Amino acid sequence: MTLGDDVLFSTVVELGRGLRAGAFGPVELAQAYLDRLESLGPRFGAVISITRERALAEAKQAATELKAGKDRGPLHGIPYGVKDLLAARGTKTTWGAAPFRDQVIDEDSTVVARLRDAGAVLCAKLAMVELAGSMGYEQADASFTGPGRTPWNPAYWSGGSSSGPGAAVAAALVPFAIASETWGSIFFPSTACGVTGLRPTYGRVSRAGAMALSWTMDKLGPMGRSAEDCALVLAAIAGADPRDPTAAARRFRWPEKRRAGKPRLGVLRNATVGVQPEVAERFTAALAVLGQFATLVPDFTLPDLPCDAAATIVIQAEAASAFEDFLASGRARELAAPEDRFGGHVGRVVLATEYIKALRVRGAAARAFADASRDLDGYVAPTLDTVTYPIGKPFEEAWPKIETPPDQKPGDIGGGLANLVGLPGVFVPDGFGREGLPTSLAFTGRPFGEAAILDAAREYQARTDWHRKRPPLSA
Amino acid sequence: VPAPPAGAPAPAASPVPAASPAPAAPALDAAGEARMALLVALAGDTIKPDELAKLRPHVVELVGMAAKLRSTKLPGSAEPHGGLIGNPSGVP
Repeated sequence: MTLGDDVLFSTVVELGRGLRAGAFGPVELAQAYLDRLESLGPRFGAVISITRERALAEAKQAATELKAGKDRGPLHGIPYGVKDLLAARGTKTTWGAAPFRDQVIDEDSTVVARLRDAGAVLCAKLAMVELAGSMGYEQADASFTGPGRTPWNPAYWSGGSSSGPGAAVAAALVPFAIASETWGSIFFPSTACGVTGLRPTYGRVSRAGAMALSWTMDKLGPMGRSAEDCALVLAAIAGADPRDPTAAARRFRWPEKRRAGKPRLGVLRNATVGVQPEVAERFTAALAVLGQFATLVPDFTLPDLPCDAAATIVIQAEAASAFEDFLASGRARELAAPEDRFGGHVGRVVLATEYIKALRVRGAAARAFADASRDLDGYVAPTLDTVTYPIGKPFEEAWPKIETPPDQKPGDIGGGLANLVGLPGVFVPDGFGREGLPTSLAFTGRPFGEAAILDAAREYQARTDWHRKRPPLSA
Repeated sequence: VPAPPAGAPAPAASPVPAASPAPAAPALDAAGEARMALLVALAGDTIKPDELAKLRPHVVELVGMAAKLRSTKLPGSAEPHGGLIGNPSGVP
């Protein structure tokens, strides 16, 4: 039996139901996604390695266990992919970069090991912007596998740096994927590809076995077909890890016990000023849906601190250190994007006092945000101010600029504060804008407040069907 | 749209399209020029001369961000003493 789109575009929850009802088996399911990764992956520049042998072995084990009555939980027998900055035994880990295209780190990163223990089936290492964008790329063609393309319109970028996870989930090459965000690498591709993304709180998920770009800002999280799916994946990968001392010993359970009362969500002040009109329209429509079940608190204002500057300085300095030997070796010259061949050197001239000041700003911002959000579960805003960018143009020239009066700047669209202080975010499709490209709604939560924003996002998705839309994939 | 840090997909902070001619060199003060000279010394022959011109706007941007941070007043001794860089003992 060949599994069709109706099965392959299912959520993790639905696939699990099908597996347990015997509608299809883990091997059959893995085979279907592997075939799709092979046939459609190249069209979207989504895949680096297909892990067929490992996938079939894991799927067979999942099938044997299910038959024997051993059920590892909601991810048992569910295929997935990982951004190729996560090590996995028996495969290459290229970091999306030509100088590392033959690199083998022959161990499972903690996230891959936890998913293996949860019964999930690793099918692919997915494409990404080279070195997760740490060299300062300025256009989409910045990976040795070429630009990632959104399945909604392959002339447009699938976003970065998690370009492969976004495209692969959108085209149903996998039901979910693990991505990373330092600043934007989950929320941008989630928007560009019209899928749901979860950026966990800094420290929620171990980074052991993941490429380091910025030790104090890197986060790993899932991209999937729904908030519910992302929550189930988070429950499997979260928690303390001796291999990553920053991983917190805080449990994340899903489903969380439903809290009494409505969720309270701030609406970011001036959230629609300076954004594309279609993005603003979709956000306004999303607010109407949120208002059906949440208390919306208007004019939520973020701390007046230079968070974007601080985040930039932190990332530049930490990336320059993480890649110090690489930069000195001259191997950056082998990178795909011309600007990446030299851009990483800028971080080498950040002064120590500037880095420390950025960390102090981070502390002040975290305290101010805690105060401002004390009575809230989080706040909402458009995830991006535009739809994704055309391939072949510098980002700066992607869309006409919309002037924003300085006193009306909304603040954190773009996530500088959220990433600087490590706040969780859930990004869900909320419609379509220019060129029929997806738009997205961002829920940003309080530290370790994933359950509250996931719950709100799940409720939003229960009342809308944007996350159920499928891109046109026929030849 | 925020200035794009490394690792972020936001539009480029300085409008230097790939493979386009370098724009006119923006001005740097003496401290900025010193930073540029340090960058040249550190990079050595891993950077081509024409790329140095393309890097210049990024150094200008860095200097601007640093100035923004420098002008941000924080309470100094009233800031919490801990938590800046974790616990050096390695024990949380």
